Amino acid sequence: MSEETDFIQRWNSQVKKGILEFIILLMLSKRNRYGYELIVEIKKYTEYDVAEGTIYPLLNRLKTCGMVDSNWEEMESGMPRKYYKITSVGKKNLSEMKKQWLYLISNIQSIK
Amino acid sequence: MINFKNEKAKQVFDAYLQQVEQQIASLPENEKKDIRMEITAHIYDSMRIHDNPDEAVALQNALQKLGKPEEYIKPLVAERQVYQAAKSFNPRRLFIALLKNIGNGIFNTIKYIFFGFLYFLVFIIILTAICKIFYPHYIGFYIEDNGSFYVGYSYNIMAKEKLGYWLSPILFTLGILLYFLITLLLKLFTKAKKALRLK
Repeated sequence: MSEETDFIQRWNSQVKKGILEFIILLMLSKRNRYGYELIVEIKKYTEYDVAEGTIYPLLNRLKTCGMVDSNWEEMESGMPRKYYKITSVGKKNLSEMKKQWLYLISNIQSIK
Repeated sequence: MINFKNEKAKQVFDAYLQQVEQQIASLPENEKKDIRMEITAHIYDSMRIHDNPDEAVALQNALQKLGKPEEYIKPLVAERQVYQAAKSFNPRRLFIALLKNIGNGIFNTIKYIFFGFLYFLVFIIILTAICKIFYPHYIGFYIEDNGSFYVGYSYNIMAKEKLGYWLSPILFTLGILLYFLITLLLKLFTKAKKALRLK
């Protein structure tokens, strides 16, 4: 029983890790967000217990690929925040990712 | 900067930032500042949201959730370095950046070993060009009687050398050309890797 739980846990975290970029782009397509906000929401939606710092190499990679862009914004109270926004290239790729995601799910479900 | 009231919290924060500094030491100043500010803002937000009356406890929680700097900053710095090094065409920077990336995941390791091999090939070509100057009679572009040909050191005194002193400038040009081509490829690869994977 315990082995099965470990197996599922590992599989679960691998799946979630693999789709983190997809989730980030999805969230940024709704509105611009900063790193801390993104990771808190990712944890909430996926129940994925991941070190919060993990978000930064991912955001950096998405930025290097031209999927997202960032800019610093001064806050009325507190510290300046680095906001990320999805680019037009990011939007184009995201719509393709959504299609492939749905395609994959329907294909997997059709396996009998 | 976060204004800590608690002295212990300030010390813990400074020690954490010191670890961050060690990880980002090789980056240009503007990128260091960017990472430093982003991490500080993250800690600030995390402390504020999980409001704890004890500042030191709040900070400890925030740092625990964020993770160790060497775990999340290392891959970030390594990627930024390859991107910057490929942009600069600087051999020393490229070598260091490639070395740092070996070990960051199996696909990256294969990728950087592959590029490492290509750069080694360039090194051999340039070395052959230099050796030709010092050992002109043993190194060349040879054609054997059976029609096979090769560039390098020849034991066979019957093999015919075809290029003479032209070998050095030709190999130099080839080496430099290959160096730029490989670096361009690495640059494109680093930049477009994810974009291609998403398509």
